[in-house]
Amino acid sequence: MVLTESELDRGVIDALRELPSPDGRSMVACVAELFTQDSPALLRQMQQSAEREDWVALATAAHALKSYAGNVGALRFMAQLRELELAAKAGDGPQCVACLAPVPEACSKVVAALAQEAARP
Amino acid sequence: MNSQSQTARRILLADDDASTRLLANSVLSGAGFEVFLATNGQEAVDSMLRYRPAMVLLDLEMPGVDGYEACRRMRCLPGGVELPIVVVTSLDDLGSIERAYAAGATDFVTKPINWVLLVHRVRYVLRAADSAGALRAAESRNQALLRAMPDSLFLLDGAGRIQACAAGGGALPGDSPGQESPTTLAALLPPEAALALPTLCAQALSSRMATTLDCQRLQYGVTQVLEVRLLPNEDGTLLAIVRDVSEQKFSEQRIRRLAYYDNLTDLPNREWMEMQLTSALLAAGKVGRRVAVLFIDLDQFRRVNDTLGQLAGDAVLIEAADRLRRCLGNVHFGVEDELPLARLGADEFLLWLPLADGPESAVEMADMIRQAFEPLFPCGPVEVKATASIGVACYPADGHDVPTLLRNADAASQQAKVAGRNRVVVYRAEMNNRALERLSLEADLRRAVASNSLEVYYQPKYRVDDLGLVGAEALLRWKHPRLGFIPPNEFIGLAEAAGFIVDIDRWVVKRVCEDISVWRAAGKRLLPVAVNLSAQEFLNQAVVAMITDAAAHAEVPHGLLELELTENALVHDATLARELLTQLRDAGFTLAIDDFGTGYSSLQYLRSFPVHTLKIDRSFVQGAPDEREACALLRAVIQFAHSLDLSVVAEGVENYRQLDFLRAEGCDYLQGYLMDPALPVATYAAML
Repeated sequence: MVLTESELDRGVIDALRELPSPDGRSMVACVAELFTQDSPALLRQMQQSAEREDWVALATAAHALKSYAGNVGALRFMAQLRELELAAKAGDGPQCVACLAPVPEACSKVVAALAQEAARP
Repeated sequence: MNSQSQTARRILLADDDASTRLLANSVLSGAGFEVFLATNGQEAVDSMLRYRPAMVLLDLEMPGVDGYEACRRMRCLPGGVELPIVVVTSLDDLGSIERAYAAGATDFVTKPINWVLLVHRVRYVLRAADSAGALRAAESRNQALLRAMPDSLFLLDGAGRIQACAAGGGALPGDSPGQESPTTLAALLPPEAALALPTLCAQALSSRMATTLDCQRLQYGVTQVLEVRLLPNEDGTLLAIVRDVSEQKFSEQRIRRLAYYDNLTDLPNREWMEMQLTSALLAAGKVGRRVAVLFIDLDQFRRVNDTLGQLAGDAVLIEAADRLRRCLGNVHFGVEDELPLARLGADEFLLWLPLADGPESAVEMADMIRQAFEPLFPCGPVEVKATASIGVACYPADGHDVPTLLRNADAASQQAKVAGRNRVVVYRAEMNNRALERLSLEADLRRAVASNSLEVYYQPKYRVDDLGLVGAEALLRWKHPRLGFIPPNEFIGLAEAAGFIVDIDRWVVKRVCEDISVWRAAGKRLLPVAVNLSAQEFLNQAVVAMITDAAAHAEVPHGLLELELTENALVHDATLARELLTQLRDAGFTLAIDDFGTGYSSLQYLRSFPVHTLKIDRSFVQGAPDEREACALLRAVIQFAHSLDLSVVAEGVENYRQLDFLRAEGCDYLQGYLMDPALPVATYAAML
């Protein structure tokens, strides 16, 4: 997988590095771990909701993942999730399906980028 | 606030996003806050109740109870109204912010959260909340103060229209707020104050100084004094403070009354008189006006006090003050609401009047007062005579200042007394010499008593039947080294007034006992001698011992001493008098009532007093036998006395017609010029 610099916002990552963390690891590592841990379940919820055409549940899951994405500076991914959330809130099924399609891969990219950042000193 | 600043401030964060909770916890803990976390709205509400956070950060989109609902619920919980609740929402969802405010949010932050700025934002919100809290506390304190304040506060515009009522609910102190708010302060105030208010407002605003107005009104039938204080504000409005100062004003009046009024008569006192008369003289001096000063002295007031007691004396003084007030009627002279009248001392009053010209109008007034004092004064069960001797002095002729005028008016009143009391005398320059004389006379009398230079004369007493000598009355004579014989009325009065009549009584008793002792040694016939006792001496309980001692010392049998008392000495304390009379009678002394008919005669008392003799006053004897009334009285008294087994002595018998009358009526004894005047001791001794 090719990672680009733009998956994560440099400013957000740098700011995270400055923050104190609870267990000695960097805050980037902590947040990356949470994202990596919680995002698969949220992705699953989104897909299942879309299959059930439960647009409200889809919007909720998209909103939650968007929040995670915001915290790690994944601004492009956030924008994708916002599109999805809006479509879901509008009950626009085709648009939801269209928006949801690229989300898993984009999410994987963010996870990978985070792993890289977390490994940095 | 203090307890909050000493311990870490608590922040409650509710977000379903674990990374947001992690970051916020890290950032806020790092900044010194104590952070509590909740993952949904219900948890947030529960934590708010449990941990009492200083602030809540609340995500809006949460599963279950969302942020809006949580916010609404928290606002309804105890402490929820003032709690700062900051909602967290996406920047792209501005509609959610509106909804959050509607649910009661204090403020919002947007996601993604800038964690560095978040700490500043939190601190800012807390500071704002603290300030608002302090303001609310101050406001409630102020409100409590205003509620507790008895004053009414109004904010007025320059024309006196009410802009706001800060205290008192738009009513004056003591009133309940009306249903409709008043539009002007004047509408609430009494009419005079309402009239004065616009000028006062203008004055306060132009001078930029507080102005004050006092006014009175009747509230529930009681006079209320209100103080209206107007304080100008920079913006042209005025703060009006209306205060009930009744209590303060009444205290001032009470203090003034205590300082300047006589409690007994409710007349102003000497201090007040000095102030008022001084300013009256000043004012009169400026316009070349004259002022008359009337010094009013009650005649023989001391006798009322001595014989009937102080309560009786007080009743006379109160009545005297009332009569003076009535005489003055509506004369107001320089002093508002107050007559130009004061009580100077025991039985002395002073009043002052403007004079058109000579002293005539003042003399007229003085004579009116004199006449007003002629009717007897009711005094418990009896009536007493308390006429007035009045001295008149005029400003500026008789003095330029209060002390001089007072002294001269006093001298004139003393002159009125000397001239026979119950009269008006206008001051003349030579009078002061007389007042001085009186003083020196008093000193001379004291010396005379001390140096034994008074003399006892004896007025022989005869049986009416055969004009046989039966005894004598001892009478005091004082031959002044320079002035010659001083009439007894004059110096006895002086001694009574100066309080040493008791010494004189004792001296006389002693002298008489010594004289009897001398006569016995000379082999003379021993006849009884009557001695007068003053009321002061008699009511002194040592009187029995004093007389028995004197008799024992000179070895005089008690039967040779007859003690004469006036009725006045007996009626003051009838029980005590009866007791003392009984003791004296049991000791063997003969007892007589002197001057019968002139005092507060009470036949009832007389019956119960163990006396032997009645001495009928000379004034009754003088009328006989030509005046029917005098004859009737004499006859009645003689019969009455005989019915009680009392012997009767007629005093002041001057001619044979009187003697014949007395003899016909069965009178027992007589004394008077018909037979002898009072004789020097040697002359009398020769008759024995």
